Amino acid sequence: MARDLSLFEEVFPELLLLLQPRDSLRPCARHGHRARAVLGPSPDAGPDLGVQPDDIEAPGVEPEQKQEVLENRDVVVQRVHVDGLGRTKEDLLTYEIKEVFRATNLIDVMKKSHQARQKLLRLGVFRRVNVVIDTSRGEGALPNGLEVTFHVTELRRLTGSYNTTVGNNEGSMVLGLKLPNLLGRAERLSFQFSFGTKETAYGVSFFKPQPGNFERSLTLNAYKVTGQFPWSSLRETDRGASAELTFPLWRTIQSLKYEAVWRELSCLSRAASFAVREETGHSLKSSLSHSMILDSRNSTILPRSGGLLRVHQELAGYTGGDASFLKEDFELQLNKSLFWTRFVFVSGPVHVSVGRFTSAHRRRQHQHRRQVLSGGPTSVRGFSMYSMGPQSEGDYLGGEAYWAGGVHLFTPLPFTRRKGGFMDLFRTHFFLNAGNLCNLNYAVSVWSQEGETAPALTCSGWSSASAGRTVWDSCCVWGTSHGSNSTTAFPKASRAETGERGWVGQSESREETGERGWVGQSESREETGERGWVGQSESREETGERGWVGQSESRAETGERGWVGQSESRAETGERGWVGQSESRAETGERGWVGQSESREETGERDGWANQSPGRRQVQSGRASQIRGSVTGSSSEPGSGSSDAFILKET
Amino acid sequence: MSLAAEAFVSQMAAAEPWPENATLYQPLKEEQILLSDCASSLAVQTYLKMCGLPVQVVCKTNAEFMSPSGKIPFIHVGNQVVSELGPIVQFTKAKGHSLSDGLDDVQRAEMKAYMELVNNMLLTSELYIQWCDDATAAEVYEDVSQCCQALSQRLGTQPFFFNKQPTELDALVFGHLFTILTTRLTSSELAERVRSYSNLLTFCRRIEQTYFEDKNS
Repeated sequence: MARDLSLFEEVFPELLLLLQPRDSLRPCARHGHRARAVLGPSPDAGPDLGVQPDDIEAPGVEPEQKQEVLENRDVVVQRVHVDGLGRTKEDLLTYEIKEVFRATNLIDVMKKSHQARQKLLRLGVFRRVNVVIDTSRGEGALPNGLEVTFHVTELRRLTGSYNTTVGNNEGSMVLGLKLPNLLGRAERLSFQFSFGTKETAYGVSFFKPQPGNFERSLTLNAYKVTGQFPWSSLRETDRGASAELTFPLWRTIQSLKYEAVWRELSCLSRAASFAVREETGHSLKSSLSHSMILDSRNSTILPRSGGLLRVHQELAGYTGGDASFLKEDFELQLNKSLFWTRFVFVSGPVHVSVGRFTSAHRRRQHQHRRQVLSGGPTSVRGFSMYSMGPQSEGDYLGGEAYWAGGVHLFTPLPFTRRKGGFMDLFRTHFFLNAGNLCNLNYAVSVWSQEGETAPALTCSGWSSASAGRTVWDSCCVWGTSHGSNSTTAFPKASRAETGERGWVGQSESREETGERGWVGQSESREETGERGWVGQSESREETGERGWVGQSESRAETGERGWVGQSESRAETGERGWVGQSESRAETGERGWVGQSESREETGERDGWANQSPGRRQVQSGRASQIRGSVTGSSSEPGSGSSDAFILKET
Repeated sequence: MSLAAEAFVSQMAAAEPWPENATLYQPLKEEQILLSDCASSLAVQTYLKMCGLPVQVVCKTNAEFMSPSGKIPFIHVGNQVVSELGPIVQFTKAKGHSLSDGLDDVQRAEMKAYMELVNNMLLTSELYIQWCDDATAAEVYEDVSQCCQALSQRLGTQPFFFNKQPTELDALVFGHLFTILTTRLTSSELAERVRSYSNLLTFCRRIEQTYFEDKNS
């Protein structure tokens, strides 16, 4: 009750006058101008209970009467009017104000009218809403009946705005045109033009809420954005359209969106690196995305309490287009006010983008490496704009996964004690940022000989398709952005830089995770955690791992298997083929490795292996003379030391 | 390219030998490439084969956007990107490989003239066949005939245009004629006109056998 009173006093101070019993109206009739209570914006002064010097005859009595009024008055809302409607349709408003009818006592009427007023303002169709509560008059008026009238002023049909914004490394001029309440049910059509130093954009957007449930809405968008990214030597033009459905669920806001974008990339200068040049051209993306926002902050700009959790995923490729990927995004922000009225917030957006290349046509692979960009004065400070992560010849390529975090402390400006005023808009900001951006490792595209892809991430922390192991803690090694294999959780960055991809040769992943296989590696290999492959001379040297062509002693020591030459172990374990085991390869469908030119042709693997270490070449020469499929290939070439090994045994 | 840029490119090019991983990019063979682009690409491939420079052909859908000048084909050698036959010839010359060194000035001028003839007539007719309709078809076919006649007369009974050694002109002519002869179009009028010159046919066949058959063997 005490709380009710304070709301009451704050918002409807003059209402008390009206709601006193009729016989007590006489003293207040002197304040004729306040005879009807008008619920407008609350006045700054405290509640004025109308006690005037000349009313002093019964000062003690009035508060009691007031309490009586508030507690005992049982009212019925008989009519609710809305005055001042032009193009707004009435069925839209009935949902917002129907709660007022349910009020049973006076405080309830006050509260519900206030809430209805907020709801009407939230629709975005009215410029001003005033509420007037009066007793019922006319026929059928009950003695305790009330009439509530909302006096509204609609927005104009066309409103415009012009702003300049400066932020995120560019300045821009934004021109907007808005048509609120287009068809009478709170639809909104808006156009926006933005001209900036780096980006030019224009678009049209149509917003339609569901009548009766404003939280649910549909938004249709069409836009064209042209941007320049000098840090990547790219110019990007996006033309797209999207449809988004937003609805609340429990305490979260969910949104489902379909988007189709025609993206055109072109080089900004002739000196762009080749990796960037490979990404130029046109591509279509058609994607479905879902996002969930749980926001309990008390303000979005400088929140003092509460938190924000945002989860976003996007799936592209199943509804057409060239791009095919799955993207995941998490953002968490927590705010807390420290006791001496400063506040701090901890924020940490983490983005993991798991993509896979298009299947079916290997030739049409589009390497969408630029999925994620990070760095700049508003994300990870300390890096230039979007200049974190893998790069090639000075151009930053972006990557597939990133995480970024920060701890911030905001305090008022020093030496200003006065509350209010211009200085209140500024804060001192202490921050600590950290982040990483890199590429993940895939063993996908190598397998698509039959046109099917089975994505199996072999980067640390993700299980392979078969083994099902998840080594999550290995992902949590934070480190520098690129170049240092030992510290980062995603050491593939270095591979990305050199342009290698999965697969034979990625020693780091193998070391870290103990995983296997690469193209063609059977489950057994994965389970046993073996690695190594032919051709990775550097990894072999570094790690002393085994098996490569020619390293028979190390293989003997470590007891690992076969590669060139270890036919018996291959036979035992049924592993595949490496040099010389053409039929096993054929059976299992694996590909060739070093030296197995025939198998490589079959599977269409690349020529990269031709350039692998000299050891392999030797083997190659040995094999060249082997007839495919022959078990007893008896070629013994002088070049290959372990030529006996090439004699295949029946497996 | 401007003179200064050409000099700079030559200097950069001359610094390194031809690497193993040179690549030539063109659009997809079956579904995407156009008649004129196919002819140009084949001309460049033939030229590089004649010079004995290994190059790997990669088909990419966005090849024309990747190219610095917008034209196909282009080669990626070391860390340089060069497109179109003319600049590629200069680029290889800077690296020390050239087919027309043995020619004297008169012959070289003649070679340039013939290359311009092929570019003007055959290339234009290919473009026409691709894009336009039959309004001026008769003129186009007439042009093609004239061009082929000039080439046939120049070739005579020699193995190559400039006697014993192949030059870039041979590569260019082979590229265009082979494409015209082997591409299936809605009307085979163009191919018929070329076929009527038998020595050009044998020329094409000979170059195909010499430079392209070994790839398939």
